[in-house]
Amino acid sequence: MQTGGNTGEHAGASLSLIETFMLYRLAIARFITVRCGEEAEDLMQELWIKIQQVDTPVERALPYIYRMAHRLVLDSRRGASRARDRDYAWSFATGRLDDAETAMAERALIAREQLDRIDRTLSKLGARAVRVFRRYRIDGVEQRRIAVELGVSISTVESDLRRSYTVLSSLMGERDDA
Amino acid sequence: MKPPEHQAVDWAILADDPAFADWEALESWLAADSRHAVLFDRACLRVEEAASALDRCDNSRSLRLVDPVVSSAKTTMAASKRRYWLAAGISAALAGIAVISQPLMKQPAGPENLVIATRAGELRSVTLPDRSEVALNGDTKLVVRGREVRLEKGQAEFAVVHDEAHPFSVRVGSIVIRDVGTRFDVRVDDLGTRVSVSEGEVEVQAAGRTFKLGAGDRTLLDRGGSPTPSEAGGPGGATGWQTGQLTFEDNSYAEVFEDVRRRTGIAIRLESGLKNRRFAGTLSLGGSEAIIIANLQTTLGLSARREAGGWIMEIPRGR
Repeated sequence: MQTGGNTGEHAGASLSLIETFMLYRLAIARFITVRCGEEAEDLMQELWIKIQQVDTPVERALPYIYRMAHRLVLDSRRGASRARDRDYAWSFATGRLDDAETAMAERALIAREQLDRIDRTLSKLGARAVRVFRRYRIDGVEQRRIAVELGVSISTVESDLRRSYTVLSSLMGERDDA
Repeated sequence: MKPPEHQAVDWAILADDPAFADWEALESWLAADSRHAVLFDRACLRVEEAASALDRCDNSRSLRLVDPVVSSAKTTMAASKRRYWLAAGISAALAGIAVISQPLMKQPAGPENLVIATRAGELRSVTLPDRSEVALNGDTKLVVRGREVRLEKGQAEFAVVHDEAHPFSVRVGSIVIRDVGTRFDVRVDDLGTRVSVSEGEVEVQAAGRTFKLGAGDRTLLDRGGSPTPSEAGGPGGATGWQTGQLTFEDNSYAEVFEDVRRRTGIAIRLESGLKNRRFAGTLSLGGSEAIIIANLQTTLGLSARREAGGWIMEIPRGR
C-alpha cells in the first residue's frame, strides 16, 4: 500500500505524470476530498483522464498534477453559476428566447455593476497595489519580478497582494450574501 | 496566530503563483480545520472572478482608445526606426484602421505595444518586423510586442518565421500558443478560443497544461483555458474567411451570421426561430452588399428584409 504524502520534495523530475499520479494517488485524493468530499471520487476520475491526455513532458510532475486537481476543484465549486448557464442554454435551445435575452441583459447589467465595485474598491488601495494585483493575477508575473519592475521590496509586493486579495474576497462576498 | 480568513488569503495568493509547489503543506493546512477549505476555495474563486472581470474590462477599454486618425500618426512617428511598422502604419491609416502605441499601464518597459485593429468587414495583412505575416479578419484586434502577440478579439491567421531562440507566441487571455515553424489560425469569441493549425506545429499552454497541435489539428478552449470535450471531432470554426468562401462543417445560424458580420461588416439580424438552426456548407461572400444578401437568401432558403441599421433574415412565408 502506498503512503502518499510528505515526500514531494524529490518527486517529479524523472517520473512521468502517470507514474507520479499512481504513486501519489492517496495524497492527491486527500487534497481533493478535504475540499469537496462527496464529489471527490468523480473528480479523481476526471483528473486521471486528463492526465492521460497530456502528451508533452512535464518538468515537475507532482506540482503539475496538484495544480490540475486544484483547477478541477475550483471548476466544480463554481457549479452554481454553471447551473445558471445551463438554464440559459436550455431556454435558448427550446426557443424561449425572450427569457434568455432578458437573462442576458440582466447579467450584463450585473457584470457592469460588479466591475464598478471592483474598480472602486481596488483603487482605494492605491495605484501601486492595483498594479501589483494586475501583474500578479492577470498577467501571471511572479512576485520577485514585480518587485524589480516597480522598484520596491518583495515584502511590499506581498503586503499589497494581501490587501487586494483580502478586499476582493470580502467584496465579492457581499454580493453572494445579498 | 492569524485568523483563518487571513490564512486562507495567504494560501490563495501562494496557490496563484505559477511556481507554487508546496501543495502538501496546503493540504495539511486545509485538513487542520473544517473551515479552512471553505474559506480557501471562497478566496480563490472570488479573486479569480474579480481578475477576469478586470481583464475583460481592460480589453474593452483599450478598444475605446483606438482612434483611427490621431493614433496612426502617433505610431508612425514612434516606430519610425522600424520600416516594416512604418509601412504597416501608413497602409493602416489609408484603410482607416487604427494602429496606436498602447497607453495602458500594463507592460512598462521594453518595446512599445502596437495595436492593430480592423472593423467588421475589413481584412488586413500585416508583415511583422521579423517577417512573420498576420492576416486579420474583420472586427479583430491584436496587440503586438516583438514576437509576442495578444489576440484581444476576433480572428487572425499567422504565418510564422521560425526562430528557435525567440519563439513566436500568441496569447488569448491566459492561453499561450507557441509556434514551432508554422501557419495557424486563432479565433476568440463567446464560446472560447479556437486554434487550428494548417502547417507545422504549435505548442499550446493553457490552464496549467501544455500540449502540441500538428497540421490539421484544432482545439477549442473555454475561458479558463480548459479544452472543451465536445470539440473532439465536433464542429470547428469557419474556414476560408480569407478568400470569402466561408465553409462551415456544422454550426448554428447564430455562429454563421456572426462570421458573416465579421467578414463583411453587414449587420444581419435573425428572426428568433432561426438562431438554433444549423448549417453545413459554403457561403460565398464576394461582391456588393446586395449580391451577398442575395446569395445568402438563395443558399439558406431565407428571405431578407431591410430594417434600420441592416437586414433581418426570416423564414419565407407562404403566399
